[in-house]
Amino acid sequence: MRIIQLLFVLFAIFALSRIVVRFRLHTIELKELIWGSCFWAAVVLCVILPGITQWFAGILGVGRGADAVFYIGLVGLSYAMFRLYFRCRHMERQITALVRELALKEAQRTL
Amino acid sequence: MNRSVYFVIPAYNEAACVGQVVHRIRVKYPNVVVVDDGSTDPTAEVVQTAGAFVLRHLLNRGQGAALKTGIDFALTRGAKMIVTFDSDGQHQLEDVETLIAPVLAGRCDVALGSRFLDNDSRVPFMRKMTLKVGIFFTRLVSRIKVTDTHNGLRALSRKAAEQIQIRQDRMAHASEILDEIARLKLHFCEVPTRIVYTEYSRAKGQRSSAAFHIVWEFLIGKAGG
Repeated sequence: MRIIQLLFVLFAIFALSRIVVRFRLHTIELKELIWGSCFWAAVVLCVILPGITQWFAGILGVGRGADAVFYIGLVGLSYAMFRLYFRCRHMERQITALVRELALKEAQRTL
Repeated sequence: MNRSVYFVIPAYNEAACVGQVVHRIRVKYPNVVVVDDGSTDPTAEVVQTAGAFVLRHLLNRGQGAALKTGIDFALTRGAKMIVTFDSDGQHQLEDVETLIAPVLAGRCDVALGSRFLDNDSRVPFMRKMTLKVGIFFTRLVSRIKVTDTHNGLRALSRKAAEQIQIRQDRMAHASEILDEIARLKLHFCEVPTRIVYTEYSRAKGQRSSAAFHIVWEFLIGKAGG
């Protein structure tokens, strides 16, 4: 096993352990535990058996396995970024609604 | 004294100027609502001393958010008309009379101040160019023909104020209001108003480069985000 593979596997195990801890502390749900575990297990598999990404690249019509991982990663990250962006906007609106409600309540109380 | 007209003034760290603005308005229009948008200076105290209604945002939420808070408050107080006014002293009180006249007469639901209908406002070159692009953009996207955009001086009838939904918390609210006027098919007119650019107002005002951010925010909001 190459050092880069070892580092990836160790990091995946660390990430997995954090997910399990969070689940035990009830900060994430079972669904998130399952998805998180599947993701990091897939990372470990792809790192240990690089042939999988090569096989997947063949299906997608991309030359190399590393390219396939890169493209999928890019799409995945963009999607995650947009989700976060819209979630942030939603939270901003909620904060505004809360701040407004407090201001109006305070005004009603004092005026 | 006109008690049915409510002035709504969003203010963020405007203690140096807003007191004077409120004093001048209250000579003729006693109902002035100032929304202190999370200021860290004594804006609220200054405004309270000047005799305005003060609403305090605990956190800074932006001019659009502050306007909506002020409008909501004015509506609950039974306002027949709402005038939105800037806190930095760049709007002229003398213009208000002509601004509110068509709304009071029922000729339109919304009267918009325009600095370009006459040439009294000495608009700085870069600001003028940015606004002209903004006007073109507004015509294109919102299908509303106006000669000025992002002019904070407006008069809204109660009906218009109740119907217009301001969801944009920050500066894009000005484009959103025009968009809402078009969407709701409200009758609007433009009235020439003068904007006095002082060192203070220019320092406090937004930069022309903020236009890109405003366009982005407006388009995302229009797309339902």
